Amino acid sequence: METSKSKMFKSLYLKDLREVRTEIIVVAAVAIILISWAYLRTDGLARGIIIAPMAFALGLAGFLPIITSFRLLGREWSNSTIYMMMSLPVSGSMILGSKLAVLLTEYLAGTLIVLLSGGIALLTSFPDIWQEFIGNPYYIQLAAAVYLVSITGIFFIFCNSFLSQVAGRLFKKASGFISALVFLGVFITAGKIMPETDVLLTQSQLLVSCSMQDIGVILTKGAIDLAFAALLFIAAVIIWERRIEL
Amino acid sequence: MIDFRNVSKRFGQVIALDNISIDFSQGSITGLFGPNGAGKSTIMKLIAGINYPDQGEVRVDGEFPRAKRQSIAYLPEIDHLYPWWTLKQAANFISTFYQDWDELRYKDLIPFLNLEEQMIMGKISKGQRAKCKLLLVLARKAPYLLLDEPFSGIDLLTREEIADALLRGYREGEQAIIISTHEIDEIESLVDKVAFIDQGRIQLYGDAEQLRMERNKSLVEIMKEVFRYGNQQI
Repeated sequence: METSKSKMFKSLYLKDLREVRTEIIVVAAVAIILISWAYLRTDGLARGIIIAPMAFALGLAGFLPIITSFRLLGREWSNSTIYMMMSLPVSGSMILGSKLAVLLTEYLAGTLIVLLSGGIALLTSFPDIWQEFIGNPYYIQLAAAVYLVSITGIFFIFCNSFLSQVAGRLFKKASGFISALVFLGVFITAGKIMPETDVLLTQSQLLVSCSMQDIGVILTKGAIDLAFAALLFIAAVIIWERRIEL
Repeated sequence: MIDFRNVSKRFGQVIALDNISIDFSQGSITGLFGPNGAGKSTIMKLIAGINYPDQGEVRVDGEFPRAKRQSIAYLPEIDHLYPWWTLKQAANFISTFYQDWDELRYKDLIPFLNLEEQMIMGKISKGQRAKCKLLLVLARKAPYLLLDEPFSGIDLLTREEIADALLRGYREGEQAIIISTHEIDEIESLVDKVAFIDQGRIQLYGDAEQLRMERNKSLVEIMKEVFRYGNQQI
């Protein structure tokens, strides 16, 4: 029987993808129903209210994968399938990496469905504003940068979630409490290390200057998040491979 | 060969293994016998690479167990298959990871064990699940086969089916099978070697036939003596 790393990764990915199907469907349903409802019940300028269900659905699309990140890994222990996972002839980076890929899929699918359905509703309601937005490359680049940073931010949270869970599993007693401590501890530490970029980001979010410098600051913040996330992921993999026992 | 050298393992205050030295060579079926909590499962987990020794060392063909997972087929006592998996999905998943997966043997064992590919793990009986787990392990031509309590909670008829399947799949001379159980009856006739374990120590280890001849007793009777009086007194 021929095996390959890519086939193994695909198997792990598809297995876990099944676990997030429902969440993706829920986000899609919520987004489409709420946005359609707001669209059909309003007219003219009042249609600006579409932003509200969009924001709610975006929040849901960002929040659910965080919950899933705890469930996806925690369930391996509660279902005892961790015995299967840990006896597979693959590295911890492949197992955790496939789960990370599933969580990113959930986030991307959810947010893109919301942005697409909301975007269509806004486009048909306010074609002039939309044209202005599309016609200004700064706005497009700013929106893309903000979305990119949201991805690196959620990536950081997923990696923190994995690290805190595997760290918690090192202890037989109070592993949930220890996981929570590590999760919060990493957030507090990261917040202390990178406050300056956060201040800059807040300023840029106000869009006072509307300069390309804002995009640079946002992307820098994204790169820092990504670097931190990579460190957390490496730490989680090291614990998984060297310390986790059943 | 699987080699344990002065291996000790604790879980908190509990000593699971206490300075154990033993080896398991290819071409033999070894029974690890002992009461619950004797340390049998810990030995299996150490070989499977999902536990680490506190002291001493475990080697599989001279390497750390985690590096040899491709050569080890491990059947844990616990239900480790996803409850939503059908047998076919489980087989597809596992076959992706192991070069020694034998599709023909898998297909051959399904009717032999009275199983169906569409069975869903979470919706079948414990006996059927045990057979599914065994099938997924036996469908591999792994050099090392670890079966941890394969008969636990299984009815008599299913136990016989499992024992028959084990013999059917066994490749003499090429494979080492280690079976841990506290129910000796079903596999007394299968094992070449036996290790009686209690309180983390090997109380008695040897060739099964030789022990039976020397003591003129069955393995069940020998085990009762070992655990009742300790090895020194028998």
